[in-house]
Amino acid sequence: MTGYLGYDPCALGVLLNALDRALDERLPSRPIATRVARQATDRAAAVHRQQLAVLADLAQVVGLVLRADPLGAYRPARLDHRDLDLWAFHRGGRWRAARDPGAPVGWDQQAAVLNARSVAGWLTPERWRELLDGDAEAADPVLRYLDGLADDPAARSAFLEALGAKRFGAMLATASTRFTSTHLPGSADQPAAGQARGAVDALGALWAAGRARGNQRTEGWDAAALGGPLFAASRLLGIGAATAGALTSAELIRWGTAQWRRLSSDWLPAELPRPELIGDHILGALVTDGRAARGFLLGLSAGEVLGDLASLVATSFSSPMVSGALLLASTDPSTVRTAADREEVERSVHAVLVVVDHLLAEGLAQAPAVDGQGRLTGRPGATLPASLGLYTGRQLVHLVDRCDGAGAACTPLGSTQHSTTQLSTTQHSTRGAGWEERQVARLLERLVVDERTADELREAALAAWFSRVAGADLLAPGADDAVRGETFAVGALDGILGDRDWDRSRIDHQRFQAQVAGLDLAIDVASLGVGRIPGVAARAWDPVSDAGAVMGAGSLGELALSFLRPEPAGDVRARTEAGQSLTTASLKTVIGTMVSAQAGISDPRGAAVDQDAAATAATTRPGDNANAGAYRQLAAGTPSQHAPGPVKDRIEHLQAVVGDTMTEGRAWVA
Amino acid sequence: MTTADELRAAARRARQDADALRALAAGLDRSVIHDLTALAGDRTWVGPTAARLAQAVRTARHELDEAAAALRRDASLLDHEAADLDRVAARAQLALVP
Repeated sequence: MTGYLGYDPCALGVLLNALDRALDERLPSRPIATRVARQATDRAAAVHRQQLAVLADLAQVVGLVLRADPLGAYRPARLDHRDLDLWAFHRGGRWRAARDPGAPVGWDQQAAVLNARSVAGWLTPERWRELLDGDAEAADPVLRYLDGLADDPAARSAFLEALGAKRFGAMLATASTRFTSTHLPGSADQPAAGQARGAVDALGALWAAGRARGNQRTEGWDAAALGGPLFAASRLLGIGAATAGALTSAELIRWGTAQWRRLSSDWLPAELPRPELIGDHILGALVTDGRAARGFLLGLSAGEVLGDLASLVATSFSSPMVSGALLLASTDPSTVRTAADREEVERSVHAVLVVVDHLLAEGLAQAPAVDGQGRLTGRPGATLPASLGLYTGRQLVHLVDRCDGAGAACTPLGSTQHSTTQLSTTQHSTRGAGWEERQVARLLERLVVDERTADELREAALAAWFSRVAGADLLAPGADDAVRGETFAVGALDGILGDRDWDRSRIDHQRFQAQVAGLDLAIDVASLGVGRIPGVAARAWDPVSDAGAVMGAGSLGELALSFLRPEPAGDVRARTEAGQSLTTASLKTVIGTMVSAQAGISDPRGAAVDQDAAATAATTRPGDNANAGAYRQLAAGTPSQHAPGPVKDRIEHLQAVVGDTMTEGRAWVA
Repeated sequence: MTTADELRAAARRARQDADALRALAAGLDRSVIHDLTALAGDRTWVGPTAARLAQAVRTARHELDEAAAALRRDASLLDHEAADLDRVAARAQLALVP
């Protein structure tokens, strides 16, 4: 833009004529008699001459421009009429452009501001609609210009001020409607839809950047940007959340909640084929701010009717991945610093998990499944968020209450009154947090039905245990109670997972017996019609009979279906107990290492650990009794063997605490 | 000694000069330079040189306005001087009345 001169040749001709007349101008002259009057006349005439001399120089420039000055400083310039950066220089077909070598410092900025106002005036709602309805060639320069404007504070501010909140809202609404009317579900964006989305994003970037600098913060602007059609409003919420300083946590909560409630209650299939687009925008905006995510969940859980929260938990209007991300953000440890934060987390987790429990208990929803592209998906309105195990596992120590289902004499573990450690978490009565008797146990049982959720739960619970126990002063006497508090939840989860495996084994055996009975009945019926069939069948199944000899006597049906026979119950029990023992041994080893480290003993395990045993234990982690010897050795190779007396005693004491509490925790579910 | 007639002649010349100064001020008010403001605006052209011309026109108008105001002040002074001369001439004539 530097050094360009835009002009209307006709108007410039008129100006040149006026300048010529001014240069020829003669002031009225009369005979003067007095000296005072003569002096006054001379002064006035001198001023007139002086100013005409200045204008005469500029009149020459006007003449040069009008004559096109092909080889001089003011030679004509060809401007692309689609380039809105130069819009001020060619307002209509009559305007021409020439180079202008006289650009002073700062002119670029003045021109950009002037240009922005000019474009804002030109972008009437009708023209905006025509642009979005037309081909990309017409709209691209405008969108490109708006994209670039976001980086120029003065020009952006001039543009938005010239546009005003009302017209800004109208332009957003037009682009939003254009998107929703051209977007096709289940396919890549249509060019028209992509263009409309680009228009929304460009306007949103201008608004957010202006808001970050303290502008566009009136109610009118908020309503125009965040209270309009949902596609644009949710998109701008996301853009605002991603722009530093544009939206506070309170504003994110307020507008996120309002938009979600509108989506949940007002959505009509005919108006928006893929509402999860909007839902993902809203939740995605809140994911960027853990406090806002919590506030949003608490807002949805306020009141008697939980339909809006249920639509989130059942992923009616969002994808499982984004819903799960919101839940994880709401408990993000980096955003939980004060007691009020912790209280918010507990309340929001309770609100969410109560809905999850209801949906699972009634069979209304299930965990997401992996689709062909490896994404976690499910039926909208009947699929739980992803990472629900991780979300629950992080809070397990707050959820599992040792006294849940016990008598009134029971006292919670890890109580701060008895602890001098730095553990930030304590067990307390889940009844006080709003849970019903044994409701948490039932919820965990329902959650671990899904293998992925169960794995997440276990990993999150162990990670939380490692993190919190490592942060405690394990050499202090009060650590016992705190370690019990942390370990009890892990033990309880271990017990629930063991019970699940037992239940599955029992159901598998029942199903197998039913299949066997059905086949036996069929064989009996057939044998009534053909007398010799049993003998034929027995000979036909000779190889199976050999296997039957090994497994013990059974019916023909049982022999025939032996390849479907479930794992023997004894094997399941052994595998489950082996896994539980390995978990306990691992925790004992870890706490021994932690105590040694806190006591200043480096490399505490030294050569005492049998590396082969550790490798075997690791590779047979989910396995059978084959690893029993390995993990016994692993557990035996603790630091206590080489630690000095008091530390050794401390290690062995805390290992005993871990072992006992794991056992107690496993019994909690029973 | 200056006579009353001479004083009245001086007053007449002072008034004529005052009129001349006012005529000159009116001429400055009517200057084509005042028309240039609208003609040199951004409806005609936009650019650094256009901005320079617009500034020059603004300065010229301001200078002409100042000059016209100064002329009118001087004309007013001459009018007062003429009135004083008339008063002195009148007093001189009245002194001759028996």
